Amino acid sequence: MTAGREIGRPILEIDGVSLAFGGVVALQGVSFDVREHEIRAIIGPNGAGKSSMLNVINGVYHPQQGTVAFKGRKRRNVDPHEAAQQGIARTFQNIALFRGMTVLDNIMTGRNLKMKSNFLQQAVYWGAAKREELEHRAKAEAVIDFLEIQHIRKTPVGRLPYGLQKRVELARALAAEPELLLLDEPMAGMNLEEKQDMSRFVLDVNDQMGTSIVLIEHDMSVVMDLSDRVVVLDYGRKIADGTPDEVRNDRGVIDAYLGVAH
Amino acid sequence: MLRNFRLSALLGVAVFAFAGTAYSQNEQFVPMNGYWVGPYAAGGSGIFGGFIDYMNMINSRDGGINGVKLTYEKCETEYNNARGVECYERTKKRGPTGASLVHPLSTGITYSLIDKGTSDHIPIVSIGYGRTDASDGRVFPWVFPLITNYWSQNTAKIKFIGMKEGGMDKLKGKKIVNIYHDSAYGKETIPVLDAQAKKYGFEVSHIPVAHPGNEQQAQWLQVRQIKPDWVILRGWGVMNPTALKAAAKIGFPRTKIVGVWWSGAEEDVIPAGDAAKGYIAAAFNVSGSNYPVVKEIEKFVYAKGKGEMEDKSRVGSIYYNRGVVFGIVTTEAIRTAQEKYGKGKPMTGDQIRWGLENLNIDDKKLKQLGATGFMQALKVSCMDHEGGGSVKFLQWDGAKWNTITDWITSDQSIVRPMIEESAAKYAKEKGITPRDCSKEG
Amino acid sequence: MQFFFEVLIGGLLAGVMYSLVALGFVLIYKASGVFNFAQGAMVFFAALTTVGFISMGAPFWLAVALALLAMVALAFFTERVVLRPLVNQPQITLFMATIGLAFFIEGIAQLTWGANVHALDLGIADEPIEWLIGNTGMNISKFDLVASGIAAALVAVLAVFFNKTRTGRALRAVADDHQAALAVGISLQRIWVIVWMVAGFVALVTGLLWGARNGVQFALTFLALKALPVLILGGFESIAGAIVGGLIVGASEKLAEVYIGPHVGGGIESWFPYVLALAFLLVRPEGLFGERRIDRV
Ligand SMILES: Nc1ncnc2c1ncn2[C@@H]1O[C@H](COP(=O)(O)OP(=O)(O)O)[C@@H](O)[C@H]1O
Ligand SMILES: [Mg+2]
Repeated sequence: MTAGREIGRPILEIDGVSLAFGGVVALQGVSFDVREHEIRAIIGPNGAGKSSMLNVINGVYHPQQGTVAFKGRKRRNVDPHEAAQQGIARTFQNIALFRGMTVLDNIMTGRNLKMKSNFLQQAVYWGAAKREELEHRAKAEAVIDFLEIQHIRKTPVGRLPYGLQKRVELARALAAEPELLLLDEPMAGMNLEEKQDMSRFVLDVNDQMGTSIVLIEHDMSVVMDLSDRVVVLDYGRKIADGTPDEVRNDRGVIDAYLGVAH
Repeated sequence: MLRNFRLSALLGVAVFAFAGTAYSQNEQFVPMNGYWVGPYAAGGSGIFGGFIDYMNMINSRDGGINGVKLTYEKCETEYNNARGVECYERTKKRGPTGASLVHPLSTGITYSLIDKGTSDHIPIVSIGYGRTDASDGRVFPWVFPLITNYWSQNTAKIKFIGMKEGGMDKLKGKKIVNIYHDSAYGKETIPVLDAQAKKYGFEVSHIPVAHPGNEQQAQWLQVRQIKPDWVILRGWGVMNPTALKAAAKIGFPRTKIVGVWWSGAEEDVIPAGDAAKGYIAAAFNVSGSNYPVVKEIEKFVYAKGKGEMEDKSRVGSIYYNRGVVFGIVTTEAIRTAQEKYGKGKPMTGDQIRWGLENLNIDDKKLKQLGATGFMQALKVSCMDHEGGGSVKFLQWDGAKWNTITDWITSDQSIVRPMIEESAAKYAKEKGITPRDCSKEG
Repeated sequence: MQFFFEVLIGGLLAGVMYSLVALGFVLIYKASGVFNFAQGAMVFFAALTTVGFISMGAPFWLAVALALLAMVALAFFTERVVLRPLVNQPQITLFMATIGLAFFIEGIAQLTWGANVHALDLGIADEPIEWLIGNTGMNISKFDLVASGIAAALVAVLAVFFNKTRTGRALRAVADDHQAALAVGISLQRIWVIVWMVAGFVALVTGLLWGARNGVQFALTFLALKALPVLILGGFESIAGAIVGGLIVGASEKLAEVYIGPHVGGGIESWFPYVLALAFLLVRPEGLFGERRIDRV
């Protein structure tokens, strides 16, 4: 194991989070943590509340109860852009790229928070702004190389096939150099080869950059291969939490997946 | 005051501004239903500024009319028909005798008020706008389109062009283009122009400009094709400076463009800058503050730190002076009424109607008023609710309007039959039996 | 034939001026999905503020700079007082709010600077170019040419800004996908302020050019009427659409006025562009350059 893979203290602590939309309960008293450099998977049947959990973490949804602590700081109602400022990046279950923009531009938006030149400098496109633009461009290119998407750098995202779009979305999230990366079903709808590529990228990111990752995934073999620990949600409740092996053999989990009535 | 008023108008609050100090029975109330905000605020604020200043001057210098103080209240119409009617309803019962008369300062509002004024017994006075055929007082006893109307003005305009060409016979074969605002107001002079074209043998082309008229390239390229000898400009608002700019663009001489009085204020030419130099417009009041009547306002109002115009340089402008004319006509009608019905008493609408119908401002009176050359002599009658019909022509030199003619009279041989015909048609539609003027006293 | 070209070119040049007005709408619509009814009022306010400062004795460029500052202040005010409290409200609510904003701006403009009309001289003569008349017989105004040049430069500047800078990218990102923009750390509030500032800048340029053309007066607010058919044609979200739409509207309305107008009594310029735009709408509802959106089901 490299230094990057040394699992450390909790970086994210979820404590008793409950979330409801009107009458629909999406999460109910969910608690778990994510440790530094860890790959943490969230699994569960459709509608279990996995995406809602990610949305709570990056501030899209504000839970009615419970707290989220990131890097030891408890918070209740952050906005997504504040979460991004704190170092949380994410991808979406239904790809949310800027369809009209090129791959490179999409990735450059990921650098948004790292850029310092002010609006006025940019308005007149002064040297400082220009230089900064070039520096960040280099960072973006590094991500592009890393994810092997050089050939589509200038292509508008809307024209790319689904699998590549997923990869671009990961690239955009990586460009922000996040400490915590939230991936919502990054391999959904991919063929085997694409899944293998994506798995390799996720591992490489975790390995080389030391990024903590929360991963939602349906494919159990992928989950078993990638993750250090797994949380299982069902009907908004946590029903299991442990290593892949522990979870695989859990009675409740098996029932949930086989659809046994509670 | 104006600033506050604008603010209140913004907040939708009516402002009560009484010229007199304390309320008493010895007052004559005049509503000021005008516009101080919105697209036409330049005209509205200028005209009502002159009007109110003149009334305040009469109060301050003469103590009112034979001791009867003039009071007023402003109401913002925004040049909008519905609001104009609202203002009328709100102010018609103010003062001991109700509204003396009303100046709607909008042809649209005038039309909306004709029936109301007639049944409420409040005279509707429209000076230089409104319903032309209401000059026939037999059919329109309560409506007074005083001083001059569009048709009269138009005949004077052709006379002026004839003068410039060296005689009316020289008009034969000449080309005149009539550029008009594409609205009822704009179209109103087409028949008169056609009648005159036939009579004098000139060729007239009518080119409409769609509201608001801030683009006129197409029209003026057509003018360039036609190559007319003269262009008559019948504009409104932003259409005027735009026309002058467009004329400059195609190189048409501004000295050959003659505008109506709603195209002939400083506000119509200043925005056009140099392009307006040499442009000529008809006027029923002149510009300038070098007239005794304006001097009196400066002395009795502005010198005392009062006055409606925030920008004092507008005192003496075309619009301002037009407001002074409104003031003179209004107060003189009240004075005339008092002479018959009792000096020093507030007059009712009926009595003021009589005052208007018997208004006679002759040259001697004009001199007394300090308005010689400022406005024309006026004699109203039951038959003739216009009473004047002449215009002067002014030319813009880039900084001010210079008067270039004396009063040029209208050609009533063309205008009067058209008025009577149109009024008779209206009477028939409405089931009105025209008054017999020989029985009026 | 020469007359035809004269009308055509005049129309295209006028069209550029319409594009300029439409551009202000496009910017705000792109970034916030709001049809900004107050754009015309902003044009009026910007121009009036400039001439207001000039009449107080300020040199031209200082007056322009001060007017620009006023537009910046207006952007902050709008974001804080109108947009922020209404975030997540239906678009129609925001649209209504901009109607209120338009009245407010018009009121403030007249309250501050009075109801007077003003001339604005940019030092460019609005006269035919002698050389062109001499050599081609065509009558083209120097001012119109310069104005088109300025408009083109403005569009170029905006294009660089949008494509090459972080803020420009963030603006496009917000226009594309609010959710995703938030997730990469773009602050909507900041973007709104900026986009209203840019729209204010465009309003200022528009106001100066139109003000020099027809004078600085309340009627500048009517320009919004000219922008609407341009927007329908060009699409509400496309800068290129605003430009091409403006050219089409300008050229076609002039040609129609000259060649069809006389046969139908004239004055068709005001409604012809709308008919054209509506006819176009039936064929291509998303506008010239609009992206056809297919809703995910
Ligand atoms: N924005 C929302 N509004 C209403 N209900 C929602 C919303 N988001 C999620 N839900 C509901 O919350 C529950 C959990 O959804 P989600 O978190 O998307 O599940 P998962 O990602 O595990 O499939 C579902 O019943 C879903 O319908
Ligand atoms: Mg999900």
